[in-house]
Amino acid sequence: MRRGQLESPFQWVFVILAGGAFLVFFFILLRGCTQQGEERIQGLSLQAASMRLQSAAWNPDSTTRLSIPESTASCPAGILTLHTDDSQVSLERTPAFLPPLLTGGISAFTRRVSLGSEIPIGNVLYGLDDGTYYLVVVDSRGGYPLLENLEHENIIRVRLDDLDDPDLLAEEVPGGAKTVIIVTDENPGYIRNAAVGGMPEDVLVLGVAVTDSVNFYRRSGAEMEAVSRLPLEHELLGLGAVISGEPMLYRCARGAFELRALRLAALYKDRAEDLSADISSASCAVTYERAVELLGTDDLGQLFDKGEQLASFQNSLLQRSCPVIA
Amino acid sequence: MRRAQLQTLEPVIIIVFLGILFAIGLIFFVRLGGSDVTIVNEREALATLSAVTTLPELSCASSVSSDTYCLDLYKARSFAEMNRDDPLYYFPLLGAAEITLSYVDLRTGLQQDIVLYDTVNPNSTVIGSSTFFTVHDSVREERHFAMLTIRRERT
Repeated sequence: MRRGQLESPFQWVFVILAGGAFLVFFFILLRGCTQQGEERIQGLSLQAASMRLQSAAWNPDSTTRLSIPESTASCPAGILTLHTDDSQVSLERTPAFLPPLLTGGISAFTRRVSLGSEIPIGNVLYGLDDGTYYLVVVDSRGGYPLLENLEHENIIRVRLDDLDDPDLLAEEVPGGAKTVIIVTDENPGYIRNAAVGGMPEDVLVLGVAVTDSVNFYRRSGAEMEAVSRLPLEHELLGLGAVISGEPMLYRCARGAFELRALRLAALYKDRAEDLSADISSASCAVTYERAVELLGTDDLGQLFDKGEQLASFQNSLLQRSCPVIA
Repeated sequence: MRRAQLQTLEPVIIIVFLGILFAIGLIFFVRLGGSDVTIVNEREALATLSAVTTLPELSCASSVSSDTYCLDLYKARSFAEMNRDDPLYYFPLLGAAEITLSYVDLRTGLQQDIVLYDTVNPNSTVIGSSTFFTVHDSVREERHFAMLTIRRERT
């Protein structure tokens, strides 16, 4: 072929290659813009992270992983608030148990709370922060299953004997830890007597013992001093206390949960009253009236105390083919 | 046309062809970018719908129906009444929206509307979506054909 004859096909090859390169370039550009947009929405903004936490808290039995700027959690005026140096957001009415220092990533687990496993009264969210580690004291009877069932790499089992030796205990603390929370569901004395002098100075050391009440501790020098003791209404709230590590944050989330639980109880009470008025069956109506008495409370502890009874009413109504309470 | 004439037109043809490719790429880019707002609004509508159907405050008892799209009539009435007293409690979950449950009472043949939740600013622009539901009347053991309408403030 002559040179002139070769030029024409080469030009078309060039056109096809150039056109294909243009298209590839545009797709890459588009994908990059989309990813940037998604990162802007989902990634580092405190507002976005708080919205995701709030959204996760409404979904029962869910697991969410989210990024969050380095921030601190506090509870001014009973409202859970996240602060950075230049901004803050509130998670009002969100029953989220969070540790005091948040370092960039949270694994959030939501659990539905029910009365007697029959009557749902809301959800609680546990936020396990990447920089917070939980040292679960293991004695001859075992550890703290509720926490360990969350299955997170930040949950570390330590033997009871290790608590006496500051070096051994300090060795359990991973590098990069911002907060360490020593946990037991047995004897509060385990934490009170923990030898924490060897722990790095810049690590916040807290302790929580969940027995028939919740006992909070905080490091003071080489010792753990008792900070607060609060009543415990339900084991899932006890787990929340462990996740929070501090009584103020625990009260904050507990208060938000209480608000929802009592709101749901009021709704069920309302429903039971309406059913009692409208149902033709006298035996069903009697059960509704008894349920109304139990649901008419503004105390979370009392609500839990009556939980089994309410659940038995629910089952009884079901067996008699009456409309159930919840 | 003669070959020589074609050869003189080749650069023009090349430019036209590249221009077509450029236009195709630009159309893709603009269409996908412009639909972001629609996608966000649709996602929010779906999120609201999902939230409403999973609330124990509204959903049918599991003994009645395992169907997600079933709301309890008595709960709906109580829920609506509670929200009239405290409309902002569910705002973090449901946002600025008006959620109405409409059903046809089979006995009377009349349509009944229950405004479950309303935090929409009257002066704002709203977009709406509707989904078919079942409403269960526990006392009469009746299921009514219903529609859940969600009108959201446009983002």
